[in-house]
Amino acid sequence: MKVVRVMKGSSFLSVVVIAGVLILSCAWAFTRGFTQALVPRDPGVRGGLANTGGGLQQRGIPIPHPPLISPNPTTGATVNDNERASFVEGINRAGQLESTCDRCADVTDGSPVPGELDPVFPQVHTNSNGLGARHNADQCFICHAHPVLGGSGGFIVPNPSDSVAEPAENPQFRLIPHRFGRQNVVPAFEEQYGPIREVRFKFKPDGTRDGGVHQLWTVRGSTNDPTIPNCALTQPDFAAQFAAGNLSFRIPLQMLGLGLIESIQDREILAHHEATAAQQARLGIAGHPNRSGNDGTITRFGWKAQNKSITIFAGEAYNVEMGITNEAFPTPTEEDPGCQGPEKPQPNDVVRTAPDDTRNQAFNNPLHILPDWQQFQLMMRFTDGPAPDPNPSASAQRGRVVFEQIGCAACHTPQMQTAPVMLSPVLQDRPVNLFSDLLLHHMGANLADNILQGQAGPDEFRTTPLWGVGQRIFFMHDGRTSDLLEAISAHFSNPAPPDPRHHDPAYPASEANGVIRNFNALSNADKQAVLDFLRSL
Amino acid sequence: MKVMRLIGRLSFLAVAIHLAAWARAGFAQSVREFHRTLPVTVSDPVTLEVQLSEGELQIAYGRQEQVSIRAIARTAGAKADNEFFATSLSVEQAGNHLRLRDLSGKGRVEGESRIVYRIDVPYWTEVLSVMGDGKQTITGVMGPVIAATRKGDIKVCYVSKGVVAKTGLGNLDLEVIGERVEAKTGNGNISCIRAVQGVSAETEDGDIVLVVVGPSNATVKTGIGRIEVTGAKGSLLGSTVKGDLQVKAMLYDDWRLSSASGNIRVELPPATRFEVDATTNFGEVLIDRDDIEKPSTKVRYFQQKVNGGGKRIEVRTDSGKIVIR
Repeated sequence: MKVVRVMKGSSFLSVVVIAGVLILSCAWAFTRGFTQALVPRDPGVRGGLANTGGGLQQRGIPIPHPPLISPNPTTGATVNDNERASFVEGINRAGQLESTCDRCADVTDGSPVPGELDPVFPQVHTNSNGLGARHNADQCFICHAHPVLGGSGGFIVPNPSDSVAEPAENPQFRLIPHRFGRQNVVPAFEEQYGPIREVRFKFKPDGTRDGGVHQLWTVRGSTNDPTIPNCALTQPDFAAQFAAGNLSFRIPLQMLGLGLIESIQDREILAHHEATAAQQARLGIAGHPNRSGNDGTITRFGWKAQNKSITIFAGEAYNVEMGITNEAFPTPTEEDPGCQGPEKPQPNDVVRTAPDDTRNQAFNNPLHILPDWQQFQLMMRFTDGPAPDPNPSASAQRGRVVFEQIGCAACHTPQMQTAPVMLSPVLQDRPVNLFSDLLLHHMGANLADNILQGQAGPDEFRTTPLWGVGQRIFFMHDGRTSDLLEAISAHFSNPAPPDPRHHDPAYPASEANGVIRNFNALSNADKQAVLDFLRSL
Repeated sequence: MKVMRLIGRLSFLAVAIHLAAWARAGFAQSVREFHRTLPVTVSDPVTLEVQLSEGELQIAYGRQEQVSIRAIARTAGAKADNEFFATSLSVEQAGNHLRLRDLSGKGRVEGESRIVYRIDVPYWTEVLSVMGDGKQTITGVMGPVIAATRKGDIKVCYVSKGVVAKTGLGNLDLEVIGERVEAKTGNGNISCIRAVQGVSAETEDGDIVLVVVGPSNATVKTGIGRIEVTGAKGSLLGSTVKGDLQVKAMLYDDWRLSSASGNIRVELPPATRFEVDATTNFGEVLIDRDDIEKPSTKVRYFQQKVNGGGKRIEVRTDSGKIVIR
């Protein structure tokens, strides 16, 4: 009986223990599931990677062209025929695949290439020339193809000449460094599914400031250019520079709607700044414009608002990113004669003024007289801004309210207006939903790149316009994350003392700290709403 | 004096009546507008088929994932039917295939009317457009494009694939075409700039101008139409009846140029290697190049390998003059 009683007692105990475990498990599972359901999460690229940029290319679908600017919502004015023609010609020019000598393009300059997935964005045959001995890319749209041509950096199919496309990836990982047999070593910071990164060196070997772009690739080994058989250029020692903490990364910004941003007057920028001054002061936000050293007006393009205009940006990008010299930037970054070819003129891409047109390029036609880089700026001028989700979810709509309530909009100004009178009626007096104040702000040590540009200090950045953020893959100036939540968190930074080892000065706290605290104090549902709102842009 | 006063009053009355009539016509002008936006996918090409009896048709690149069709009818001197487009225009969509056509005879506007059809499409669009009377303009699409008009001009530019453009009466204007171009007009001029895969151009009577083109043939079948080619990037076959024929280009391939009575002028860069074979039955062959020894007498036949020879240029005219420079 004792045994039975003991057994009965142990059974009871077992039942109690098992029941307890079950109840606790259920409670844990319920709580976990419930919590998980509410944990805010970046919904990811709107439309999905397969339906944007390189994902489309991978499926044998041409990457969509940049949108033509929409009719002026205020007046109904549309682009005129000349503007439309310039825009379309600009797409042709920006899509050209550059060869390295002035006569060795496979196809006549500026011509669509038959047989390519997109004849205007060829990947196999060159239809232009002038690629610099050093460069970051050999085509504008290599770094501006997401979610559409003219967008920001994304992925590209690495084997465009093969019948079966490999998954799209960072074009700096395989495609560009080795195109046409070029012999480049790929630095570790260019990852297969990471962001397209260009690099600036913070300091020169003698300890003085550098700050300039050091191009990743050289034309050494090019199999499609017989004029530079002995080019022996080598790349900078990126690994050593990286180890020394001397690299600052930048990812490509999108180009959509830049004509609209350029059309905003300085007074409009300053008026918005002043209108939100009290709110900014409460949140610890200051902000100031970067200004041109020549005329004192506000500069607004680039990560640090260092470029005055899209024309200057275009000229700089042609020279810095592709090594193509032009009227705005006439001197090559690399002058090694062994890598230029004997017939390559410098500057290379200039207004065609030759009276006899001996090369028969139809340069007597106004649309072909302008050089590529100027036609490229015309394309940017008449490109529409990124279109938001036409049917945002209820959460996204709620997110917009929260976005403003917690102070995000103090810097990410939702809307500005273009100048009241402009030569082009389609650009003038219309709203621009850019979500930026176009001003510089201290972002603290966490984001500081220790690069000075104009009046932008080592931890100062322009408020990045958020239009189009819903379809971007990578965030922040260095592409450190593809998660919006992490991007928001990266805005927070405590003050930091100087670090002499890396020449870092003392950094103040991030101006965004107050807003990030507000965000962190939100309920999970409201945080999710903000994320949903951002992905609807 | 009375007569003078009467004339003055009558004149005043006539002017007043004219003004009133003009004002009535002006105020009577009515505008009818049709606009529809149709969603399409990016994963397949848009195929656009247009059949219109009259009007002006403009097809142009706008943005992805949508086709915007806008039609505007301006009518002077008569009141337009409010249901004009509802009864006269048909828009059909099956996936990415779109068909726009006017239903001839239905809902026509009385009096003079001018209808402009504006269609904004994605880049990846193929176009087949057929019109009765009217002008067509097609810009910035991948193509291919087939455009035909019974009477009216056709302009096609920035098309990445091939283009076929035909009109019974009108001019053809083609620019930046990625693949082969076929251009034919019953009576009108043809201009084609930057078609590096070549052009086949034919007009009954009119001028043909080709600039930076691949292997091409150009034919003016009757009349005084002339041919002018700048920047031939491949072979060239050109013939006129009475019109002149002028070619200025680097020599990439053989040229055969002929005319019944027109003059033919060939210009090549210095030091070009080529073989020339020129014959005129009743005209004269003139040589104006430093690398060719000029004939001492008037000649009607000239054949020579210049700078060692190379691609062949054959020139024939019955009564015209031939100039090689």
